[in-house]
Amino acid sequence: MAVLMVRRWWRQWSDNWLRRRLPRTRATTLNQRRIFILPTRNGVYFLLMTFAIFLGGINYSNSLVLGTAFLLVSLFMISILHTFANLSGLRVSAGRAEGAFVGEEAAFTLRLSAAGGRQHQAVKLSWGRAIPQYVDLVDCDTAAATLLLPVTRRGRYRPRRLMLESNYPLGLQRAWSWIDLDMAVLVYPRPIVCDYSQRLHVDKRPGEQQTEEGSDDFHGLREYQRGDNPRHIAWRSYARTQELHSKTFVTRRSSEWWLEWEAFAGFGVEERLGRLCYWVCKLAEEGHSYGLRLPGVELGPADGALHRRHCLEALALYGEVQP
Amino acid sequence: MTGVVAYQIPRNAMTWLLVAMFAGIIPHVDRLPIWVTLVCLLCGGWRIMVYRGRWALPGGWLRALLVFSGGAAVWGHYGTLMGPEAGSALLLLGFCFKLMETHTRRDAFVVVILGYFVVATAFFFRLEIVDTLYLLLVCFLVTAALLGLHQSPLQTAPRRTAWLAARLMLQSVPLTLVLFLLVPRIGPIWALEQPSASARTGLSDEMTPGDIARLSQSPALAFRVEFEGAVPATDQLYWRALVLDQFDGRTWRRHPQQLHPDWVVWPGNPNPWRSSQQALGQATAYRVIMEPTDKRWLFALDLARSDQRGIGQTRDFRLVNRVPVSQPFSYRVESALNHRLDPELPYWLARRNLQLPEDGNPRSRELALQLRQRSGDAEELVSNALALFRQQPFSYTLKPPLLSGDRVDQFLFDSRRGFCAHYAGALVFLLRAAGQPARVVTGYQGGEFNPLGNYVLVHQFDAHAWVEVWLPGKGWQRVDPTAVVAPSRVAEGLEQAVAGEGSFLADSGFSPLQYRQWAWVSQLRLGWDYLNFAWHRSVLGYDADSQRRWLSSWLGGVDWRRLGVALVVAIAAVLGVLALWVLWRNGATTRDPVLKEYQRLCADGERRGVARQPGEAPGRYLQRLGETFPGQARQYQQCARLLDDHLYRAEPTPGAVKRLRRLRRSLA
Repeated sequence: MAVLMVRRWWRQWSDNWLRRRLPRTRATTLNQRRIFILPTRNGVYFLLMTFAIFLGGINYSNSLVLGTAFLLVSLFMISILHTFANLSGLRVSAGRAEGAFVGEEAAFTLRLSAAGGRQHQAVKLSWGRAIPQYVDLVDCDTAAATLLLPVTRRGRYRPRRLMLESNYPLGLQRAWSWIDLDMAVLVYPRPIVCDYSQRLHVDKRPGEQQTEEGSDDFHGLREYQRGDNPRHIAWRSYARTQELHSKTFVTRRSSEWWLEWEAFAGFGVEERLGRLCYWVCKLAEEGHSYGLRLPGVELGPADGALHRRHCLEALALYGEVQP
Repeated sequence: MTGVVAYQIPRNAMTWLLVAMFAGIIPHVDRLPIWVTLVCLLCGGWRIMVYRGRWALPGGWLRALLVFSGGAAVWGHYGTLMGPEAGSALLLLGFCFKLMETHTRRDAFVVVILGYFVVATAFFFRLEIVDTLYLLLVCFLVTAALLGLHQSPLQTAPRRTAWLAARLMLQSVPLTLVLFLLVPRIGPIWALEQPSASARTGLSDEMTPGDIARLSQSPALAFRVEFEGAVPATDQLYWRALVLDQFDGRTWRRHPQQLHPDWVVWPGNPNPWRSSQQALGQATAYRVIMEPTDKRWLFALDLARSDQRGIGQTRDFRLVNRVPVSQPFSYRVESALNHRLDPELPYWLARRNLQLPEDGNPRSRELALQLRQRSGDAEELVSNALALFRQQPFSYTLKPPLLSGDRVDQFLFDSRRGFCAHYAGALVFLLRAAGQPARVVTGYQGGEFNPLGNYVLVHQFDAHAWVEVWLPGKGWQRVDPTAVVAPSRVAEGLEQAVAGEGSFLADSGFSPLQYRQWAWVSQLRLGWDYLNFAWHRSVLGYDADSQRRWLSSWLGGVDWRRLGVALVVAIAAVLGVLALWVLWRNGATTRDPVLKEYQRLCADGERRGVARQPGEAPGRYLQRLGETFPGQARQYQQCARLLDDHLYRAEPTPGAVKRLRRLRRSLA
């Protein structure tokens, strides 16, 4: 019991100490304030070996055996500098972070750059329960690493401290640094497959079709503009006229859906959110226009990736205090 | 076989481990039994086949068998598993066996540790400059393997790994030197049996004239001598090592009492035979740096004394070491070249030095009696005996005829051809038969002066035997019958003495000593020897004694506190400089020269009060600068265009760096 308490107290104390020493940040360059370094187990064995050689040199009064021991000790000390230098001057900045559904993995992209103009090798990035990644900065100034962190709880997810470590070059010391990177993602509810019985089907003035720019049906040609999808270029007309045209498409908006919180009455909050989430994804995939009604939130019918994201965000943050 | 192993040793590391293994075997080959080498090569070859994906690693039972039989065979060969010889054989076998079953990084680390041990143990047997350089190379290879182990698997260029390892090694050198010089040298903590190398050439403690038809000469070095003052004349350089005072008609040996502890007096103890040695005149001081002999006797000029711990003086005025000399060894000696030994000869000593076999060699005994009768006193007897060698047709040769039976008779009356052993033996026989105490002294005579280092080189072929005869009132006097027969042997060395015979170093294979007549060969040889001399004296011979001398000249007195402070300061200084070097940031965050210029532009802008915002694109920032300084808007615009071209156009813009630099300078 006492051990547990001491352990908890120690964790809390070290956590606070780290927080004070290494505050949360979007980007940081590793320096002596942030880098810790200690010999590894192999380093200790190496020193023991060196000591054995030293004893041999002393007992047999052999200058060269002694010299070997001194060379190995020097190698050990020099490698401290190199292990430190392998992390020092490394700049880590937050990149893209993509949301994920509960039970999946959120992708956090980090950008590493050699702020000191040096090379960095075999830098291990470990972050929470993500599979550690090794990054080399050799002959290049920047590198990106994407870490996949499993997420288990809906809402805003902010991983704990990221650890960078390295025992390059000789594995005799381990240098490490904690970075409290200011990165967060939204974790969406786990989609639950279900039927949606209350299909609130609103037909707007039947017979009159609404169209908007989309990708379903061919609509016509227009002059090519930079940034147009190359797949949509009308090559046949280019062969004929030597002018670039892009094909335009329209999407037929046939129907609108309303996804209602109340439709899943009787389920728990997470259950409801999971079902709504499934339908948001399904309708977005099918290209329908849909609206979402949650207590206190209403998103009017629309479609497209942005709308889908807004809906998922509303689901993810349901019940949370907006920051 | 075990299941799939997730971790794979980087090929990079494996390459260097294999190279290090083969390189590590080589220095041990000539000393180890041949089967150890063969087993190691087999393991290495097998591992290479595995490395190339042709073979599988051997199964567990085969490895167990190898390890067990390897250990048993070492035990069988050396009778022990301890000590440098058996230990290094075991280490080498372990190194190779472990390489065979290396799967994890941990295994590989064990191999690396064993590799460092293999290097260290090789230094027990190999001490020359070339050996040391080679072993440093092996050490570097092992380090490269260790480094390869800790690179990420994406780094697969063994050359680059080697380059990084070389950098580490070179950066370690200054610190190694500091530690080598300043870490206090202490004596052995516990006594150990010194490793003995395979049969060494050198002086024998017996002398049997007439047994060998051909004196084998070795060009190997026996010892070097550095005089503190002027070097005495060559015919003064009689390096005393052994006294042979027992003759059985065939062989000259040491009297058994010479091996008794009472025969030696150690420094610090009262010298019971102080009164029997009188130094006359100035002492000559010098330092002898000798090659290992595995024997206890040392070499010095008469009459020698040394204050060094562990060096004693014998009753017959030789110097001996407390333990056999199995490592290069150096000692300081003071010799009174002008001296008187045993002015009063004790009865027991006189009897011992008159000993002869009961019978045999009648003609020589007859001759001795004639000499005795012809001579008035002892001195005349000696000169008459020497005159005999001068007047009769004696000749000096390295290829004497074999003798048997009454050997002294045969030599003196029939063959009359021989080298120093024949002459010394015969003269002592004559003198003893004539009633004058005499004995054979062996050692080395002469030496080669190396003007580069102002020291004398004594080779194995300088080995010599001479005579000491006791004269009333004068004590022991050195008499060299060889000098009478072949004066050039003593004055100029062996080569001149046998110049007509062409037998100098005839059977020793190639040696630069055979080409002494060519000046440049001699120059090179002496230069190289000087290097070796310096190596022996300053590196191999750097012990507690020389450390104290060296440090007191630098620090002005040595005590533990001063040494500790010096050590810490030196280590801190070296590490500090290295840290600056290793951690030096060149400031630039890019290698691209155009971007470097842009970064300087940003720095200039910041100095002028317009700092770049985080995430601000170059074009936007330069535009903002142009807006802030309207007079220079055009230049900033040009900069932006150059940057855009550089960043986004496929083909490089020629001269972009220069134009940017010019623009930047005009703006600043």
